[in-house]
Amino acid sequence: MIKQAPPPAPIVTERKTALERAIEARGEKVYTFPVSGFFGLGSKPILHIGFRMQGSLEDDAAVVAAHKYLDELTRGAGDAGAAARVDGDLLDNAKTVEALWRCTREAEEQPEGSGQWKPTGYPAFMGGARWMREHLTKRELAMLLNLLGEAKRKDGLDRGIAEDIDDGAVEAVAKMCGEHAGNDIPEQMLAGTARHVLTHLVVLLSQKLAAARLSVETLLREQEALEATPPKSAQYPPGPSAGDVVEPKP
Amino acid sequence: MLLDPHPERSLTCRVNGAEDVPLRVRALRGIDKALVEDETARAPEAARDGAFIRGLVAAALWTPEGPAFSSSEAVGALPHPELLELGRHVAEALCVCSPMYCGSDVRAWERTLEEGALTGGNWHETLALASCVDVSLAGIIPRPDRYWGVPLKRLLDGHWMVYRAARAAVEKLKEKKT
Repeated sequence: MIKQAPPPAPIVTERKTALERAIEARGEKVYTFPVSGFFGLGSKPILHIGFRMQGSLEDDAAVVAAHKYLDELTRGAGDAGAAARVDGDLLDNAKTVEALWRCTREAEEQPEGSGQWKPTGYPAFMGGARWMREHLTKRELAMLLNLLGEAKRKDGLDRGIAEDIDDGAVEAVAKMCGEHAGNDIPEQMLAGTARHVLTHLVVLLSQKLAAARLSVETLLREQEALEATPPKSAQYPPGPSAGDVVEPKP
Repeated sequence: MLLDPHPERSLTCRVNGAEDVPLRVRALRGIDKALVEDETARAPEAARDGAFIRGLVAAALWTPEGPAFSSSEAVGALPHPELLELGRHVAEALCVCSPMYCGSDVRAWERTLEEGALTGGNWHETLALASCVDVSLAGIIPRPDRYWGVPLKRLLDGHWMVYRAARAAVEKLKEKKT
């Protein structure tokens, strides 16, 4: 009997464009943050969590998973289910958990004791989105969501796509707020501004205020020093004291 | 721009990490856009916005070596803010280089193209385009494919608009003479 050789494995070459290769070469960006109150296997405290910046396809997958979860949750619930399906809060919470489960990453101190935390590539919550819903409180989820927002802000700044706040913008906002302090124009103007932009504005304005105060204090101190010093015309050179030999001028 | 077989518009923006790769948007056929819409309709409802932008970017964005992305899934590797930014640039460029019978203000395009066809500098092209016809007992059969040297199926909506504008301009001129 002639043994037939197994058919050769098909050669699959994945074609990637230059742009795709460049995007892949950027690598996965993970931002780690210190956390408290989270416990891993063996009740070992989780000290840092990494937040991965994922692609839009994964973002969409999280949204779809949230809808699926809501669909499963409300199936067979009759009218209550129909009402729950259109409940924005419920959907937002589901989206939050799905997004957090996908982007959070376990972080390890490498080398131990160095204070350098690096993501391991494993999910921070191995139990999945369902586990997170069952075991994490709303406060903990909110904290993680805030950190995700912070990671996105950092990523935006790294990519240069976040709103740029230059000195001119800070001056313009300060002028607008100062001129319209008595009415609600500042509130209306700043209502749509992202939280991180507002934070930047407050920090930059505080810096400006501190610098202005320092320069005013310096000016006042100089003024006081000037006032304390008698005018030059009132000053007399010290006369010769007894015992000094006064040489005649040529 | 529409006299080119493949009307394009260069983008000033670049993808982070690939700043040396120039990007351009190539005009789409109506069927290309319809395919993107079909693919979008197959996506779950909650993810359709993202699916449409990814499809549009994959269909219209080109680099000097060919299509910028091999599939709409490949565009999904871009983070959402970057995708939105790129999608906005692509959509804006398509509005300029890719008029379509479905979705564009066709009357405005026809009016502008007719005005352009009657401009002195464009006369040669207008006559060349308007003369691309077959004359038969049934009447005049438009043959814009001869001007662009491509099969009829490869013609873009914009090509047909330019062709019709050229024919209308010549007809107007004939009326004036008589």
